[in-house]
Amino acid sequence: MITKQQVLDWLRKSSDVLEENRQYLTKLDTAIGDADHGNNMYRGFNKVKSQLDDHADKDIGAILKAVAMTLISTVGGASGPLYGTFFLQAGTKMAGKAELDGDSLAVMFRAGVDGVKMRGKAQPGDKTMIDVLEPVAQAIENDIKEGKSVSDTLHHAVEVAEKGVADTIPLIAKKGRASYLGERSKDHQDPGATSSMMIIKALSESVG
Amino acid sequence: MVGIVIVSHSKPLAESLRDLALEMGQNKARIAAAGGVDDPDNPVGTDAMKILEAIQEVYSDDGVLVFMDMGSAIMSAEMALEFLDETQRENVKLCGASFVEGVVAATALAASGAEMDEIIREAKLALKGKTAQLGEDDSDDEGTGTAEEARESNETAGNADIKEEYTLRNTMGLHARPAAKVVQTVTGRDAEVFIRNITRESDFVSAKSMNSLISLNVQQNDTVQVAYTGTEAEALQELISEMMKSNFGESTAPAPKRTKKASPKKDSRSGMPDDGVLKGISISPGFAIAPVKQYSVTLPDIEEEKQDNPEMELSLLRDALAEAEKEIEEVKQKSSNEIGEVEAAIFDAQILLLKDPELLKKVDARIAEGLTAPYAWRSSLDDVIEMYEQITGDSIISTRVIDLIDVGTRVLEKLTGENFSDIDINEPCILCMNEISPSDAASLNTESVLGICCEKGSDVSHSAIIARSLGIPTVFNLGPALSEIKEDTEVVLNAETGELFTKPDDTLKQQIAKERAHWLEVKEKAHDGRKEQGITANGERIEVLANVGDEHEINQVLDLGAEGVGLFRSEFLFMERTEAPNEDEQFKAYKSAAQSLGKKKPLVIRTLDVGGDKPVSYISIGEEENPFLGQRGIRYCLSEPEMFKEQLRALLRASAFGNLQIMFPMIATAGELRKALNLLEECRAELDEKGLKYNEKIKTGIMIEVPSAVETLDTLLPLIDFVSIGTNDLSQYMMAADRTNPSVGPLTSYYQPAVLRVIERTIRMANEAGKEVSMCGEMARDVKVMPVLLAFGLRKFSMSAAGIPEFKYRLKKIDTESSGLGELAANVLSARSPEEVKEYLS
Ligand SMILES: Nc1ncnc2c1ncn2[C@@H]1O[C@H](COP(=O)(O)OP(=O)(O)OP(=O)(O)O)[C@@H](O)[C@H]1O
Ligand SMILES: [Mg+2]
Repeated sequence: MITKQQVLDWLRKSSDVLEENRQYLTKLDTAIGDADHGNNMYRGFNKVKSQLDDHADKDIGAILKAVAMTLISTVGGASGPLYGTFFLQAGTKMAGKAELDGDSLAVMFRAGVDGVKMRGKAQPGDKTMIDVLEPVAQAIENDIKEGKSVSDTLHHAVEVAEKGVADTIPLIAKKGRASYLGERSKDHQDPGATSSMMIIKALSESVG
Repeated sequence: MVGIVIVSHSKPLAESLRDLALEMGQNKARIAAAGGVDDPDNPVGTDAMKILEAIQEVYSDDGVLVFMDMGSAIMSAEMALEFLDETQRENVKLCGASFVEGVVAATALAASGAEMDEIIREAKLALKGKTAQLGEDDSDDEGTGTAEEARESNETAGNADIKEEYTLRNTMGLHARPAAKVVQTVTGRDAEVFIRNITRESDFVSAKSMNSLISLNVQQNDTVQVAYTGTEAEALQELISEMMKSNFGESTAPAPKRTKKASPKKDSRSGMPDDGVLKGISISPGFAIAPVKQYSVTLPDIEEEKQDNPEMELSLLRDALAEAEKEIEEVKQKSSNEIGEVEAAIFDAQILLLKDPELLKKVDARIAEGLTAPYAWRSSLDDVIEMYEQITGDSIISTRVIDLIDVGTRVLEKLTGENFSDIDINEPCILCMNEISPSDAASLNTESVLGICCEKGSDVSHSAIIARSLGIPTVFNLGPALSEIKEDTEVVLNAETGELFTKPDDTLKQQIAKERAHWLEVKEKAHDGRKEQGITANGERIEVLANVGDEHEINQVLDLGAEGVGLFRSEFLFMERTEAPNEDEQFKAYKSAAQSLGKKKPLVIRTLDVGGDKPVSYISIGEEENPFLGQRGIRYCLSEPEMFKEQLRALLRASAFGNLQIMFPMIATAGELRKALNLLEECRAELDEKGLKYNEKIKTGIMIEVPSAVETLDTLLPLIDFVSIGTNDLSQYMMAADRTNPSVGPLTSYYQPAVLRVIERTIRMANEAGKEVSMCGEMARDVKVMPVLLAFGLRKFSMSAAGIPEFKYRLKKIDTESSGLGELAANVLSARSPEEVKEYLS
């Protein structure tokens, strides 16, 4: 079970880790983008963090939707509508829930990831956050179906996410700013995939 | 006034562009800038909420056009649209035109009061000035060339000698089938024909291009202008005006109002409702339980590539087109055996798309520029599809898109040797897709595809027609949530109610499984037994006949189990032509029909029934206030005795070749019937004189569709051999309500006690007089009222052939001697409302 408190912890942790890695993400985005991904994510999640106290009375679905609205209106880059849609779809599916079991977790992730795909129209292999999000969503679905605990599932998800990040390195970008670089986008790690991995790791750490 | 929104990563850029454009728009335009994000340290970026505010600032019902710089600007704008309410969202369009030129052009036009579509078109062309000045050829760019072509067409058409205007009254306007007819008529003639839609203020387009004709978006009651030039101009004018004036021989009933689907409770646009039940429109009934298989229909992706041998690419393209045509021809042949010729004619429209001169011109130009044939073909199709999609809101046009994708994919397969399209399914499943194309539908493995569910699709689409004839339970218009269903999820489809249950519980599964078993049993038994004679449980023989429109349908209806033809509508022979068919031509058609049926099986031919809702151009009935109560049917024929006698002679001569019978429509008085019979006598004498043979004992009869005929039936029956009840007209004349008028239509239901009573009376009186009686209206195939009609004493039914298998199957369950049946008849006759009648029947 993931409690509401753990969800709030997750968001706080995400915000912290994105702040710590602000320079790092921006550096990744300098190589193949416009050097703003770290700033974008920091701006969005810092705002999310500042609003966490307002969420005391809300259910998990409502919290996730509030996060979505904040990200949509503060992030600024492509990751704004993309992560915004993730949390919006996830929140919609989790409406009214006070805690999440394994099945809900799987449904939530799938909804979020499908939302990102719908919004950005990226496929796995396009060198975007989808290269992390899609395999993670699949791994969670499988693990839960096989009866793994939420905690084990999330530990596994982090491994999958880390592999997903590494896998973006040799790819040629097909979506986003980096796609303007064509071949030259090779041999760089995708910033969005990296921030996705960090957020997933934060979730796993919050749940324990 | 259309509003303009500028979205940029940079606030200064958005605002400067706004100012620049405003100067052009004489400061009148409604224009808002949404640039940058609210972060003083890192101000560059896009913000969906800001875009939303900007849209709302300039919004009016005339619409808003949004221009974006790049990257996340597009995603953020799309996001913003989702926060608008549905009615507003429909009026807001994202425009892919060049940023600076597009905005400036759009602002100028918007300020002058232009409409959305025009602004979009012009904005997209705005870059043209610059590229032309720089001498760059960019015909690769969307829209380029079209403006010039439009100017040329307008000029040629403007100088044409013959111009004529027509108002199209048929329900679907100039949709695929009529457009195909126009193209077929014009192609290969020594003339140019251009058409424009006056109602929608379009440019002239060439009538040789199917795509261009469809893009005119001619809907019911739109007026078009047609310009003819060239040596054969006059001949074409005659043909085309005939088609237009007869509304292509199609129904002119008012188009059903497109009601917005009530959307189920959901939080976002694509959301799945909490109960997991999706609702759509039922296309073909039945039930299914199976795992989901997701498929999507789009044109395959083709990479942009260059080549340096345009001639070879062109010849590759020609080969591919020819092969594709051959293949479509084969699918058509195959489908005409399986699903009937009328449905298969859909593929003719597809073949015309392959030959569309406008489309081919585009493709050729791109190949000439050095693009490969597959890419040139694919990108030109994209342009056409985009054009269709811009013509908003019309379901008939969007069904064309799916046809285009269908044809386009086939050609790409030929060009690349890859297989993109086959839906290869061998495990039982319910097929879920955004839309299904006609060839997909026709090539489905009906053994494994237990159900079809589509996000979109309309009930007038070609695919719907095919799905229906395949008998697969099908529901369209289930919405985007359909794609959210995970592959292999077991779902339950109730295509009777149009519901798809994505989270079915066991009770529901069991219930639907039972329904399905029953449905399958009925279907299978009905199909197997379709060629057996119509017979009731207690062994009483019932004749089950078909209604047909022309002689070519006969083999098909025989295969569906028809025991003869109870109504041959001769007016179809007379429609879509410039003059009446002469005696010989009619004779040939009737004779061929008689021969297809053999000596015994009845062929009841109704004499010409025009007027009312069936106008024929060369027949001048004159303006009538109320054509349904005017010169129609026998009334018209008696006023044109020479023409009528040509038909009667043709019928008599054909009677030598089978069991042909003559039926007069719309008889209201004994005087009319006597006149008609006298003319028939004259014809016999004329044939005798010429020594031409006919069946001396030919049977004659009348349609019962005017209440006065029922009232005076005793005076009519002695003159004839049979009567046939036409329930559609009889109920509208009985109830004094126009069945094509939606506000009074329900009054004309044959469940009305008054209608049931006159039917009962007709059947009883005919039986008592020892005359044959049958029924040939819609009611005849309604298996729910069939027991009542049997109880009334009806023993002969004529219906559209698709209903025959089930009709015969149900017949076998009914015992005409059971006391229950008599009771049912008595109850129904004493009912006080249609609702009460329905209660007795259920
Ligand atoms: N269409 C897309 N689908 C999925 N992910 C995408 C897409 N476009 C970009 N991304 C992800 O977003 C990341 C970049 O996010 P960032 O916030 O830097 O946006 P950006 O590219 O700078 O946006 P902008 O278009 O405003 O310049 C990429 O590393 C990639 O993972
Ligand atoms: Mg960036």
